[in-house]
Amino acid sequence: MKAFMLAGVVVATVAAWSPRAHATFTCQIGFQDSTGLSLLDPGTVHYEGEKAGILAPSCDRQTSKPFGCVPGAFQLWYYELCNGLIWFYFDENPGTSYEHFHQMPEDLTIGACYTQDNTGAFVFGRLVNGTCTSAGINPLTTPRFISTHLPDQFMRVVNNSNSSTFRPTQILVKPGSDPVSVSFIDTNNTFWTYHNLTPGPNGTWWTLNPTGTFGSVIFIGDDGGIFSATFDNLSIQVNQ
Amino acid sequence: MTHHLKTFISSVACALPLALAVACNGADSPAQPAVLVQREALSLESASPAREPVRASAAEITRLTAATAAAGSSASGVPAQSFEDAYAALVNSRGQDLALRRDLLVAAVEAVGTLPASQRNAAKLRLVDYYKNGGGGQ
Repeated sequence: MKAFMLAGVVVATVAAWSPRAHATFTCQIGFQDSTGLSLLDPGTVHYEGEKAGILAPSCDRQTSKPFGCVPGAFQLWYYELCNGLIWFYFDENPGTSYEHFHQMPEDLTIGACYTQDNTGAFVFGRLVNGTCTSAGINPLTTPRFISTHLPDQFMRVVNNSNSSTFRPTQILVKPGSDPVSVSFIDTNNTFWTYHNLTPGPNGTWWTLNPTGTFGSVIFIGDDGGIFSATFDNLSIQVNQ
Repeated sequence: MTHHLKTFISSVACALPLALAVACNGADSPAQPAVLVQREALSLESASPAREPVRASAAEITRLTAATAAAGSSASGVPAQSFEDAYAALVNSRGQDLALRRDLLVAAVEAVGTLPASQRNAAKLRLVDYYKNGGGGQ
């Protein structure tokens, strides 16, 4: 009995001294989170927010710049929920100031024309029997992908929920995209880059082999092309 | 491209880098039926090459963090002519498909946004009017 109890104490002690087990999970960011989309300007004065397929920060805007926020104004870019646990936040790497991304509908028929919806807002539409209409298009539930703005813009991804670290594991590079690069800075402050993620003729899912560490920021952008990086379905592995 | 659109672009946006590319570099072609090109990706199982990470060079780090600030605001950091040439190449290589139509529309909408605020609504209405009957012969 004593030996049994001693064994129990040993087991309990070992368990208490074991390093904290880290749980990992992976989620896929589709850039079509209805909550995240709803936080964007529903119909900005100048650009119609997400309805026009443009992802810009929600803010008080300067009248002199199409996307520019009034200096000092609170800016809110795009959030997407990962596995119901972590809100990732997507904005522009401060190195550039295009002040918006294009968050285009995957349905190519949306955006074939320009019209006004039943509220008078200017929106992308579909051509139906030769007429441009936005009927049936819900901007909050329309599947999307991202297109950066000219070659030097990078999307920045951070975790706005807690201190969990993360790393990119997969990305879909869309047809017609310039080669894409995905970079991240790990917890050792080492900067890693996955280069030359080309689209191929039909788009390519790229698996991003792990580096062995996790980090706290991801950058996605053009890798030496001349147009833009066009991508979707970014998979992120989270280390809690 | 109809006279209406030409008028719209020249009066609204042709002085702007992005719209110049739309209006002045070969998009002026007869109306054609749209061709839906294959743009959707393969399934996850059918193609998944792997890429090994590499340590970024100092130049790349600079590019991603600080030096890109030199690009300044919006498209002003991009030499206009080179972008126009690039956009013309895009137009020429992709033809009159739905994706191109949308790209051109985005360019036009962006161009409208660079107008003085007092002119934007009128410009949008003209754009709506252009597309009212299909825009480009659809």
